[in-house]
Amino acid sequence: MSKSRHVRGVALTVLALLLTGCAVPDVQPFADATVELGGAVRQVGEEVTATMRQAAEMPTETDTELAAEADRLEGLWSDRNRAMDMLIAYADSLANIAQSGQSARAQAEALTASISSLASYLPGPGQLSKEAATIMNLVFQTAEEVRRAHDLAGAIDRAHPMVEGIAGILRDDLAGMRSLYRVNAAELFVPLDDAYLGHRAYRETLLQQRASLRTDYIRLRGVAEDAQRPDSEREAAAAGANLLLVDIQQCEEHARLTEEPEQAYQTARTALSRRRVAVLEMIDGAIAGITALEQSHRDLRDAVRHNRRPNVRLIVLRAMEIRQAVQALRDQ
Amino acid sequence: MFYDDMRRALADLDEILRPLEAPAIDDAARATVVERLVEFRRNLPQEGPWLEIVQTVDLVRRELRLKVTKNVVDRIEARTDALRRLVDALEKEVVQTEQKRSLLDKETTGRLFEGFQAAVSARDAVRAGDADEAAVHIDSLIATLQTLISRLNPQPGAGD
Repeated sequence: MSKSRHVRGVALTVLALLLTGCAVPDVQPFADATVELGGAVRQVGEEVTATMRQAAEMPTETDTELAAEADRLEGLWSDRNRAMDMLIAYADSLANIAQSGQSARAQAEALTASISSLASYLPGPGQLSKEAATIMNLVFQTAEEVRRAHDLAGAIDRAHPMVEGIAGILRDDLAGMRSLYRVNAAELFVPLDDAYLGHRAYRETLLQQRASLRTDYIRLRGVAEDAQRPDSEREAAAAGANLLLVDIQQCEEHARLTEEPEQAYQTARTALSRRRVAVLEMIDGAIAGITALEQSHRDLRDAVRHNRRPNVRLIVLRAMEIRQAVQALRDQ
Repeated sequence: MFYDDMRRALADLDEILRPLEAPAIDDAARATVVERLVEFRRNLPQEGPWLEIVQTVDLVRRELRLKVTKNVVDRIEARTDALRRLVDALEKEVVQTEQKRSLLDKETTGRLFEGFQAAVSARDAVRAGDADEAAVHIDSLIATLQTLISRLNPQPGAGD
């Protein structure tokens, strides 16, 4: 039997066996999103413990119990960071399997070249032809593809219960962290409100007084300009209005003096509010991201099983949101 | 005027604290009460009879803050052992997958090298005009390729 027919026969049989349906999905978006999520989970831990410590160190007193809880949480959160590091390592290992075809393909192509070169030395018909070498190359590449698909399917199947379990725990943790952050972030407003309390009360009194004076002034001006009324009444009203005008001007002058501290108070309050919103958005993003990670992993498993493309849109979208939320917080 | 303000403030406080009376209140609802208390006390005068209200608000607020904090940290702690076990299992899986991948890559490279050597030997035999020797090397090349293909295509679950 000619070597060419032998090789071609073996190659085509194997190729036919291999091409029974295995595809390597693109795992990279899943791996990239896991990295974003890992950053957010770490940041949540840092933000919440830092806020607890700030809340524990109030100007009037130190809450040692709260400070101790912050220390305890920091220790426990390091396990959450490790969980995310491991999910990232796992996602990377999936991506590595998916990408490992590059080197195998290059090796297969190099071997094909040497087989082709060999073919040119063989005399006569029935030689090991270039066609056979090309088929062999195709068999290599397909076999590598199948191996990766099998490796991926196996790895994803085995890891799925762990990914699901970790995701469930992290989701519960993050939901708790949301409440924890809210109670402690609220505390940060208290010393600020107290520091400006006297000023705000004074300013409020001035503004109320000014509003009341303006109402009286408008009423007296109305009497003074009412032609139906006797002159004496109109003159008395005009004189009264002029006196009120002086009071209003004085009141406005005092109110102007309160504008600078008012501005400082509002600026400080707005900064606290913005940070609070940014942290809560990041926590919400991390919760949604964990859910997306779990769903995407399930979809990845099903996609590999049923030889279809996995749906990575959700996790890519969540990763973008998380990146924006983390960035917004860093820009504060 | 003062009494009206005081009555209104106490009614507001009562309404803010009402969710705490529910038999099953969660930490998110407690956090809402804390936030509302902070907003409520923001404009309270801190003198005379008002001071007593402010002190009450602060007491409730701090108790709730500590309760929520302890609840959440306790629950996180309670989940930690289970989390560690899952993470350890996942780590084992990752290490095994990486080892397997690297082993397969190593074997693949080794087999490809054997195939390449057989191809070179066959070429040299052809050049020397020894057709029998060439045939032996080509058989060896085919056997190597078959082994390689079977290694590249393990049955699902085999070798796990």
